[in-house]
Amino acid sequence: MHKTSDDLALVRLGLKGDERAFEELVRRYENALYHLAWRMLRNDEEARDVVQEAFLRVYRSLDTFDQSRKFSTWVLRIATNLCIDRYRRRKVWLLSIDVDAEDEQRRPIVLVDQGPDPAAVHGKTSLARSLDRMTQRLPPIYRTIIELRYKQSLAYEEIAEVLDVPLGTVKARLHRAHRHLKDLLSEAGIGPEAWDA
Amino acid sequence: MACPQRQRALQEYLSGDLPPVAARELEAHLESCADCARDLAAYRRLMAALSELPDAPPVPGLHRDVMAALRPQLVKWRHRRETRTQLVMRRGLSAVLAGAFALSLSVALWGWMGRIGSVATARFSRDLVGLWKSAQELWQLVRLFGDVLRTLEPAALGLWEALRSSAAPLVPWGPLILASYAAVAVLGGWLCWRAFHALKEGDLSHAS
Ligand SMILES: [Zn+2]
Repeated sequence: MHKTSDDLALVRLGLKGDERAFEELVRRYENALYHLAWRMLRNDEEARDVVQEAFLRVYRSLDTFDQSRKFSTWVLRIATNLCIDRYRRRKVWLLSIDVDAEDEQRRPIVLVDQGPDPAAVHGKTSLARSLDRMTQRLPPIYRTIIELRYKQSLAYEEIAEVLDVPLGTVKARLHRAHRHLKDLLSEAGIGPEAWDA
Repeated sequence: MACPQRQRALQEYLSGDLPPVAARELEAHLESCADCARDLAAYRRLMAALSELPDAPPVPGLHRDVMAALRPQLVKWRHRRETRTQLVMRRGLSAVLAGAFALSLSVALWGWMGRIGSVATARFSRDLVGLWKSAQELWQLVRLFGDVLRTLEPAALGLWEALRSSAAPLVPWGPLILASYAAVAVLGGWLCWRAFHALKEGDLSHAS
C-alpha cells in the first residue's frame, strides 16, 4: 500500500480536475480492487466491472471523501459494497450476510463453484491451494475478510473501516472464518492429521 | 472438537489477543485436553497457510480497460467539476470572440450606411438605427457563439481525450492550452484594432 499522504495529494489534485492524478489513483488501487472482487465473485468479467464501477463512484463522489481518512480503505469499501450488491443479485445466494444473523454454530453453505481453479498454476503449497478452494465455499462476508486480512494485509482497524463495522465484529468474523475453514478442511480429509504429510 | 466454547480463545491465544490470566488458564487446559491441543495446532497451521493463499490470476490490460471505460464518463463529468477560473476563462473566451466579431460587423454596417445617403442621413442613421441594429447584431452574435461553442465542445473534448491518451507523456498540455488562449486573445485584439481603423476611415470619408 502507498503512503496515505501521497494518496491525499492525488485526491486533492483530482478534485481540481487533474485527470492524470486520478489515473494514478486508479493505477495504485485497480489491482487490489480486482483481487478483492475476484475473491468474492470468482469471475473475471464481473471483477473488472466492479473495478470500473468502483472508480466511477470514486470519481463522482471525490468531493464527499473525508480527507481525514485513508483513501485506500474508502476505495476498498466502495468496491466491497459493489461486490455484495452483485452477490445479492445472484440466485445461488442462500445465506444471509446480515451480520445480526451470524451465530457461532451455523455451518457455511456450499456455494456453486465459479470458473477454473487458478491456484493450480501457482506454485503454492498444497494446503494453501486446498484453502483457496475452501474459501470459495465460504459466505462472501468471510471471503472478504480473509482477502483483506491475508492478501491485502490490512490491520483490524482498517478492515473495520472498510466494512463499516465495529472492531469487535471484525475479530469475531475472522474467528468464524478460521473456524469454518478448519472444519471444511477436516471434512475434506485434509485436516491437521494430514497436514504434516 | 470437544470444547466448542474454546474455539475463539484458541485463536485469540495465537494472535496474542487473549488477556494473560485467560491465556494461563487455557495453557493449563491444553495440558489435559488433546482435542484443544489438536485444534490449536490446526489453527496455527491454518493461519500460516492463509498468508500463502494463491493470488488471483494475472489481469493483463486491466489498467487500459478500466481507463477506456472511465474516460467517456470523466469527460461528461468534467464540466461539473470545472473550477471557477476555468469557467471564467471559457465564458470570457466566448464573450471576447463574440464582442470582437460583433464590433467589426457593426462598424462595417456603419460605414456602409454612411456611403449610401448624405452625411446628415448617415449621421442620423448611425445615431439611431445603426445603434439599434448594432445592439441587435451584438446580441445575436453572442448567442450564436454560445451555441457554436456548446456544439463544438464535446467533439473538441473527444479529440482532446484521444490525443491525450495516446501522447499524454510526450506533450506539455498546460503550456499548449495557455498558448491557444493567447492566440485567441491576439486574434480578438487584432479584430478590434481592424474595427477601430475601419471606424476612423469611415469618419474621414464622411468629412471629405
Ligand atoms: Zn478442550
